[in-house]
Amino acid sequence: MDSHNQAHLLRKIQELSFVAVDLNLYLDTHPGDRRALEMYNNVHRDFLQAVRKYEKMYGPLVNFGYSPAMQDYWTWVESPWPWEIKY
Amino acid sequence: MWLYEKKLQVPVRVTAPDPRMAKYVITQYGGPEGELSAALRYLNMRYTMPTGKAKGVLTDIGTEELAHMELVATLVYKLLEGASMEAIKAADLGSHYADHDRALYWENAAGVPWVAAYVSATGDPVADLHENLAAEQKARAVYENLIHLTDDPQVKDVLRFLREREVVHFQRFGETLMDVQDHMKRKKVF
Amino acid sequence: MYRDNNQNPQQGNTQAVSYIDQNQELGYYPPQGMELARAYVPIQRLGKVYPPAKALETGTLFPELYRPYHY
Repeated sequence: MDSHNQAHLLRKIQELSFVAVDLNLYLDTHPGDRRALEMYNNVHRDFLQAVRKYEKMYGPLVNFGYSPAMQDYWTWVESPWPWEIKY
Repeated sequence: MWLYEKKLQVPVRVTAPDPRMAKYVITQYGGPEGELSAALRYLNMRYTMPTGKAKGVLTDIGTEELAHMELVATLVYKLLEGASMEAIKAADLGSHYADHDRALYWENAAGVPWVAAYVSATGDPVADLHENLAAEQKARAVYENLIHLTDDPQVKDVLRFLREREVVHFQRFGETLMDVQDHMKRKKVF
Repeated sequence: MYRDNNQNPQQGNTQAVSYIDQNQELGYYPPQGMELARAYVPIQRLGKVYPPAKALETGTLFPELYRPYHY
């Protein structure tokens, strides 16, 4: 298993996701801030791109209909789960 | 409805197993100022907040707190991983082990299980937002206490991240309080 | 919005930081626009943001919300 590359790609996703989350909280109390909205949409694009790249190699990051099953078995249940990954 | 992302919010690393530290850290999993308390407090209050912004902030911060609960759980998990029975007993975790083996459980650093009394909900939006401001300060203080309790720089990194999030949450609840107070004032004017 | 404008000290209106004036015997009086018996938190204004890697490392996207703790 290519654990080093997985942790590296995951890190990129964690960074982009985190920017989205902190912007999201800011927008919750500043819903009219256009500059923040623009920033959010930019991060959203980059984030989804990184997620799709990761999912192609390592399986879905979200389930319940949000991500496609890309193998002929249900990879959602595969190891490693987040608390098992060696960073 | 909740969606789960199969990733930690931040990477969690420990330099070496440390059951003693695990015993302290678990307080932010199931203790009074821990992430479970925070998540349940905010997710519960959101139903009766008067403004969309307040409902949004409480839903989103509550959700983020669940992610933080996962980080704390992972920290405890990794601090216990590979620890021997001797180390577990020496760390005074024998009582936990007796009831739970290496399973996590919602308890404070002294092993006292979580109780709903840790969270408040008066139904008064101003009072409840003040409760949230206080909660964020208390969580920040506990993370500082935990940082003092370890020399492991990787453990400190995670604790510092979680501490900083409390500072940001405080700011958001503060802004929400300002907005809700304005809203309540405007409502009084007929 | 909650920031006080410069007031003439002789008129008795004090800024938030000015404690030494002739109103000292009356105690602290809230600046204009602020009331007693309630809390205030200033509203953040969006300024610069950290790049994503630094944001994740510090725990916030916003430099003005960063409170380092190097214990």
